[in-house]
Amino acid sequence: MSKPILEVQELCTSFFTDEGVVHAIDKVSFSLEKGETLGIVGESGSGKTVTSKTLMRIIPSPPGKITGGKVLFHGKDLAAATDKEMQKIRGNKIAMIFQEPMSALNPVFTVGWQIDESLRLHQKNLTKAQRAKRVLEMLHKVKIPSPEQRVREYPHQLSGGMRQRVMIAIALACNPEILIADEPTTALDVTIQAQVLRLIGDLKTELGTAVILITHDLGVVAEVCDRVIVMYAGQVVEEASIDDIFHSPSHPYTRALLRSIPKRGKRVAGAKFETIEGMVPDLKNLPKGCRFQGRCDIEKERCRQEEPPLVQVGERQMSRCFFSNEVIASSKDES
Amino acid sequence: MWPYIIRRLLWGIPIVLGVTMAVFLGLHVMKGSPSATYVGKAATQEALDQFDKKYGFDKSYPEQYINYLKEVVTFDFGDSWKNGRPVGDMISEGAGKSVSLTLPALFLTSLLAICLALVASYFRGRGTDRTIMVIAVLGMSVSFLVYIVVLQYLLAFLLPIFQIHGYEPGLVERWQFLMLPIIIQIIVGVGYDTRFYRSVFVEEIGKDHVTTAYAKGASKRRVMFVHVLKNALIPIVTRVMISIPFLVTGSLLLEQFFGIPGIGSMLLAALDTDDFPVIKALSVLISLLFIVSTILNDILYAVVDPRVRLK
Repeated sequence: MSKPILEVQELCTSFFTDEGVVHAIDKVSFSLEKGETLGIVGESGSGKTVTSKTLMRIIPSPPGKITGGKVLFHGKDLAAATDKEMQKIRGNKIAMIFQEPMSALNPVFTVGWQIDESLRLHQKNLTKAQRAKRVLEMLHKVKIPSPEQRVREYPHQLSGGMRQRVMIAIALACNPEILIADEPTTALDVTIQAQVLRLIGDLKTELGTAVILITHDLGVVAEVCDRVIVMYAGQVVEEASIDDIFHSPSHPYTRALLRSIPKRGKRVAGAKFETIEGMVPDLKNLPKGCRFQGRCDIEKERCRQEEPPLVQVGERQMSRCFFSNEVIASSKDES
Repeated sequence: MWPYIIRRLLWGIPIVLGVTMAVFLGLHVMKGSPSATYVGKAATQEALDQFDKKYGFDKSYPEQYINYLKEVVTFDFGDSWKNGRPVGDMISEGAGKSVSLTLPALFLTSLLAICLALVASYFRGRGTDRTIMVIAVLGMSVSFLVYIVVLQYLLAFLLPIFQIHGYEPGLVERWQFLMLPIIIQIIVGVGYDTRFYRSVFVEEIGKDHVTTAYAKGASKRRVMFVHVLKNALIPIVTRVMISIPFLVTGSLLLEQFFGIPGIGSMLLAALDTDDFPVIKALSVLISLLFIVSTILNDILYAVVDPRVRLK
């Protein structure tokens, strides 16, 4: 196992609002190796996006604040880095693409200008002509047809899929070591989703970039990820390899997520889709004990008294459940 | 773009027709016979007839209206009834004074307000922002008249830095009269504008593309001055453009208080003395300015926003 390029240790981010303090993420830890694709899965409000924005240090502040933990990138703590240091890393060493390609590009600048901006900010040794060449090269790489024409166009002249390709071109222009993709395909048509995922996968292999893929779609995870962390109410509840997640999940939440994927052939007429009952708890007002209580199908008295720690349950699998062995065993029966 | 401008100008024709019709009805029909208003009730019938004949009021209303339209097209409104000077000359003299009173004020107010709003939105929610906003609200809450009286007293009477009243032509001399009213306009306007521009910037800062810019590694300053400001130009342009007609008509109140013989005081005097040719000319001028400034606004839109295409 090689040394990870990114190590997140007990990272906490809170939002100090007028209604109270929201602990958006609580002691999140994970690591990322070179060239690896890590999925972060969870429902809305589970803290996936806050985690990624905290890594990039682009949490709006105030009200957001990192209240603890470290983000070690090649041994350097980004959580404690200065704004200047972060500016040199953002878009250069760690790049990010977002969920909404319709609004993530600046409407009043051309596509070419926006890709060029990354180069202008980080590759100061390049001449204007070299940058222009690189911009076209990037548009080719993300498979945008007739880039010579597109480069002069504005975002509103492109489709959603095209815009997400442009976002990828911007993000990869400086050959970053890590690409954070925050639900990159959620807002796209299904056919375009597959194309964009394949593109990210291909470029990742070509450039050796490590990818953190944030999604709520386990299908996407199955397709592209090597390893997954599952988040619930601001905490990591399970971390496992792609095989373990699908074949032997160790947390009842993961298991419930898997069950809620509609399955082909298993559908009986009139049968309802499986859902997870209840709601994610209010992060301003968390219950005592396990955060998944009230929605869990194996909940016991202990779960309402003590908060379960994240413990090793397999060779490369961690779970935040007192009864993880039970869950693994039952999952094996199911599959 | 030219076909668009020409078409927009053609659309202005019905608007001008409507304005002229309203002015015509207001002056001739509702106010009664101009000759009676002007020559006086005690005048002889002969004097009234002579007056009517001289200015064409003996003709039918449609004929009179057509004559009025001829004046609009040639922009020759004849001579003022009050001082007998050509109305065109009076307007061109007054316009220069009004513009030198209002244009610097508009420019400086906008510039100052945009800078303050950028600073406030950059530090939004913190002390600097709150301080700027409190001062802005205080500034706009005090009446125009208080500023005029207090500043005239302080800066022209106690400390005779500026002239209190009057006007002198000349590129240099005029400023001793204009400075104080310009300062007052800035103080009065900057609070409103700062609040407006701050809300524009704050809205823009919350947009997704600003997060993208940060994620690219752009500095806070670069994000504010390049990404936010370029997008905010759209509402800024509108805000400035709607002020254009008022540049020429000037500030009625300030011209009165400072004795500056601009278009504003000319309009007030004309309304006061029923100086028909001047009222007719100024109402047409103002409506034309509105039409031109909206066209300019649309053209500038297309310049600052690539999504707008003039067709």
